[in-house]
Amino acid sequence: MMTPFTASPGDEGEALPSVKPRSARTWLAFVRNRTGLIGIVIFVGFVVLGLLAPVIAPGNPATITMHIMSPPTAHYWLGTTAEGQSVWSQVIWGTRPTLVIGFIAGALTTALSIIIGVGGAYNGGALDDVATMFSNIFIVIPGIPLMIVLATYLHHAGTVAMILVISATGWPFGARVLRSQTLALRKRDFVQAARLTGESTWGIVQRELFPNMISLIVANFLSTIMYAIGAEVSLQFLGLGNINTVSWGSMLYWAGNYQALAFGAWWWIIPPGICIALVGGALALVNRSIDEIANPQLTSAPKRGRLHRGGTGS
Amino acid sequence: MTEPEGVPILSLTHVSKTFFSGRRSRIDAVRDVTFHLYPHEIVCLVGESGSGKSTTAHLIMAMETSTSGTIRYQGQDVARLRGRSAHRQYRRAVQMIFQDPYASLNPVHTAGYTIGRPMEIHHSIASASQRNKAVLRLLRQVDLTPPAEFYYKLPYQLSGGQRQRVAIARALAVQPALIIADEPVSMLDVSLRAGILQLILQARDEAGVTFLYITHDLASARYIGDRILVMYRGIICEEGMADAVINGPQHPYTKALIEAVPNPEHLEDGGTVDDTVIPSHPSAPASPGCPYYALCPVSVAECQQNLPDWTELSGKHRVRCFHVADARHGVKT
Ligand SMILES: Nc1ncnc2c1ncn2[C@@H]1O[C@H](COP(=O)(O)OP(=O)(O)O)[C@@H](O)[C@H]1O
Ligand SMILES: [Mg+2]
Repeated sequence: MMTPFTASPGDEGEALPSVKPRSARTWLAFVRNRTGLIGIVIFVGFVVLGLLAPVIAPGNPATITMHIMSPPTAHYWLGTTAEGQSVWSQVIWGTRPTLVIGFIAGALTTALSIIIGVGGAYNGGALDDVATMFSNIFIVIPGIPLMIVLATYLHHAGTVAMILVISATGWPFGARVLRSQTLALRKRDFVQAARLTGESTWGIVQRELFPNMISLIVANFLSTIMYAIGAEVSLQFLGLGNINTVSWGSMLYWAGNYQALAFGAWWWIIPPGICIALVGGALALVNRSIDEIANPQLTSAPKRGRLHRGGTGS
Repeated sequence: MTEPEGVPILSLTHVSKTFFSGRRSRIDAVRDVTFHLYPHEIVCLVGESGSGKSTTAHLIMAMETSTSGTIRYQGQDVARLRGRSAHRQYRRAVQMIFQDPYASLNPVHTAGYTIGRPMEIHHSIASASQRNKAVLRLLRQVDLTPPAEFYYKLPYQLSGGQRQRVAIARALAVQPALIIADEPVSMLDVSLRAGILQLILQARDEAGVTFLYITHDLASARYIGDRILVMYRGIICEEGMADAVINGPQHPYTKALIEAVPNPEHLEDGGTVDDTVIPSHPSAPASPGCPYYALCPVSVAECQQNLPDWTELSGKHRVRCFHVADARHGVKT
């Protein structure tokens, strides 16, 4: 067919200089952002603790010993429980179910929010009406009370049941936010322009909408992890989870059951409490830094020269 | 100047578009519009804000469906494109440039991606390295040099004029036969407009692209257009060669427009001044007749009742006006 304009002879040898891909630049921005870095370090620290539990605290954390209600000693760094279990060992091992449930439930909830929120809003019409109706119904269902009812009904929610309950009650919040963002974006000229170049519906969602929503999606994911951890801890604390697994929530349940506070056994309550607060705080810090990084206009231009000087700090 | 000749590349026949908002209010955005675009010409659709220009563009781009009438691209009814490949072919052949370059580029995509993506979608260039070369060549052609540097720019790093050049390069990327340019310079600084107009002329001259150039500025229409279509409240009231319409307007509305230009010598300036912009008129209640009826100094009773038919004047010049029709009828007998 026709060639656009005429090719000028000097163009043949033209090549693109290599530039760090966008994802690398985003990570760099993250690391430069103090708040985000602190949050990531704390969170990753807990992930590492959980992974290294067999090394840091070898042995079964549920093992019962004669040393009951011992305050911190050289042997039991964080003291013992009323059944003589090591609190240190329990806190370390307790990281695992808490993070796993938080992560899986967070991922599932976010996936539901995206499918229902973005899918409904982008397609519009009856599909959107149905999606909105479901969001509105589910959003008024109070999450934690429903979980309590379900957990009671299921007789001690296992891990899978707990993840399902958390996801089923958690998705409408994200779905609403993503829906309104999608509605705002789909009317924008650049989405129309993409359609006019022949981009498919899935191509538009994936290439035009998602990149503009990624900070919202990640923020939503982190908030959902926080929500899931909170829900998991609450259920465990109320004894509605599996109280025989060692988790921060079940530690608090047993501490309450044995009236640890009345016995002045602060070492049994404070460590899991601090861990919960630290994980929640770390996620909140990361979330805040995403807000700061989200807008490319607010960060400095990713000029190639700047990147080279990046090592000297800013 | 290119005279219209041969088989039209795009034909609109009796096209109307009515928007219904609420139960009672209806807006006849486009009324009985008929025109033809011939290969390699630049036709300007001029009219004040709200006259239905963008709606006409959206109908052509199949972003909206017409209420009545047919739009044919090379004989093919645009409303009856069936199947994925027919749609793709049409998208490849007909492209659009949007008015606002701040809105029409995705803030997360580099210029290189924006221009290369249409080539990728249509597989018009097979390999990624060939595509990169083509993108660089386009960047050079739209005067974004050095291209290797502009390739990686994000929209926020570009000025309005540069953004519009990226948008033009995107439209050219799939080597379309026809481009609908909806007021492509109206959001730009006056000093940048001539460069964009030049680019459009060049794309026509060197790549043979046909343009429907939408504007509300008479000077740029006169500068760039081979022919002019004057639109008012959904109807096209006059059409003809650009010189003929600007120098010898026949429809009372067109006459009023051209008389209202404060510095007529600026009509020769090619859109680099802002005082040839068509002012907006106060809205009048919708009537079945000529929309200019209420403001027209020479209206007759019939104007309010019926939409006048076309009166052919010399050459390609024609007007939709009872007064002109009557005057010519009078001359003949
Ligand atoms: N989607 C829509 N719904 C309802 N009315 C519309 C819509 N699009 C355009 N209109 C109306 O149609 C008329 C013509 O608009 P438009 O084609 O944008 O004019 P122009 O581009 O010439 O300024 C205006 O009165 C406008 O309000
Ligand atoms: Mg418009």
